[in-house]
Amino acid sequence: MLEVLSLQVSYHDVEAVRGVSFSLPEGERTGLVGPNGAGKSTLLLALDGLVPFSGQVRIGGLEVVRRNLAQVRRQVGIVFADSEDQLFMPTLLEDVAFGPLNLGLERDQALARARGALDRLGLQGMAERSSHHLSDGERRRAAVATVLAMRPRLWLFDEPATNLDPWARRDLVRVICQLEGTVLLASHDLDLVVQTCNRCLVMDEGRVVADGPVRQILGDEKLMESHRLEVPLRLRLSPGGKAPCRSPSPS
Amino acid sequence: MHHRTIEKLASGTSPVHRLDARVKIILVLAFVVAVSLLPPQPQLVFLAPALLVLVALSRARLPWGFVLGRVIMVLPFVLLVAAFLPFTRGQQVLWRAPGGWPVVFREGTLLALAVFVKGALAVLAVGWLVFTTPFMQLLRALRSLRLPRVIVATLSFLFRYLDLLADQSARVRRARLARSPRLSGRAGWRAAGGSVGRLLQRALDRAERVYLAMLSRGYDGEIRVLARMQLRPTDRLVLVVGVTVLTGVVLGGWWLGGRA
Repeated sequence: MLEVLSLQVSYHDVEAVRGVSFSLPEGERTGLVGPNGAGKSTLLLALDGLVPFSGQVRIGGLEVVRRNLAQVRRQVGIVFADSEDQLFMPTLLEDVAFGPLNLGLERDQALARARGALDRLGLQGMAERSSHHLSDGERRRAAVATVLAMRPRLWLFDEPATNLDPWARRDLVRVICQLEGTVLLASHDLDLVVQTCNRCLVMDEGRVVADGPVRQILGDEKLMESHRLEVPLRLRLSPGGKAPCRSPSPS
Repeated sequence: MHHRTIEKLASGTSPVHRLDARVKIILVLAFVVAVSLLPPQPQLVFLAPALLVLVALSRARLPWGFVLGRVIMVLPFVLLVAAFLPFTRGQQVLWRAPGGWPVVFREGTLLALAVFVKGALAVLAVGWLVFTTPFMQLLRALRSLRLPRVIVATLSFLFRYLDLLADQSARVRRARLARSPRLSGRAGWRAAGGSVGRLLQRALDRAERVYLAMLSRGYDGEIRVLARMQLRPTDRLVLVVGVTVLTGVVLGGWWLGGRA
């Protein structure tokens, strides 16, 4: 689904990503962890062609280069760290329909898609509201809805759990687990990664320093501490534990 | 904040609220043009447009206090335009200061009065439009009347992020007060200036991120929206009647002006 080969990104003489290579098979959910400034967010932006980079990125066989960008962005959906950035239209419905309309859908179809996405995230009653009047949890779900309406094959999440209360966080876990498609989730909330992902990449100083099954990677105390991370509580309490997306979810 | 109150008023259900926003915009523009075309004398010519705007406002069932309050806030600007006319225009002296200066002329005073009344009528008409039309409808209507999309998009973002900006500036202010409860004078101004700079920086950063979020959802320079605007027969009727009446007002005004 996603192939990345020697990806490099520099911003104003700072190398944010220094030669990253990995690939994600179709349908896999992968966590991306690392300390602040490791280059996680920049990597996500590069995968959608939103920052200039050198190296090679292929999404579903399609190379991420300027002339393919429109097609690439049909397949890739990003849920940004700050949902306020993602909800820029005056009403929620307009926001969720923004992507489908840009895909070239007719108004009726775009409307149906938008309503469908809002329904699936439990926001049907809020279509005409301004996102300013939503709670943080609702706003995060709304941000997911804006991407869901575009039906991407690759989902990129940037810190999706920030500012969420425990209930909203559990709700987010449920939402991520129910997504179809391939997921790459960058987060400091390592428990969230354990709850939703099968595999985990560790990034530090612009490089991928570890890659493997989520419990093996995040349970490795030495590895975690050498990269300013820690073994998540969930793994300390039950190292055997349940497979991701099997935890009881709120109805 | 005031724009929230206005939004609430604007989402009412009166016949005026239900009128197509484009019709309202065209009528208000036509009204402003008609009023500005009226001769400054006799004052009787302003009776018809004043009646029109009052009837229009009463049909909108708006709270008068709020409407007049908003309008009074704009009037000083109109006054400023008219204020110098009595001293600079005309021959017939109404009043002369003991030292021989300044001099108030009759023609200038009448002209100032006319300018003030015209301004006030125009402001009332714009108020009628703004208080009966949700902001988004207004923008959509402006876009469909061919206002450049960059301007429409900018206004739309301003509307969306105004509250956020206000919240942010309140937070910055609180944080500043928490550390410097009694800053005053120069130091106070310097601190306030610093926060304004920070706020601007944050707004620019956000603009950058919003743009990326738009690009990632396929933005290509055209903002596409769901709603379609359709003129009902009532809208067409109101438009035709309105424009006809306004033409009559101008012609009648000229006739009266010619006789005076």
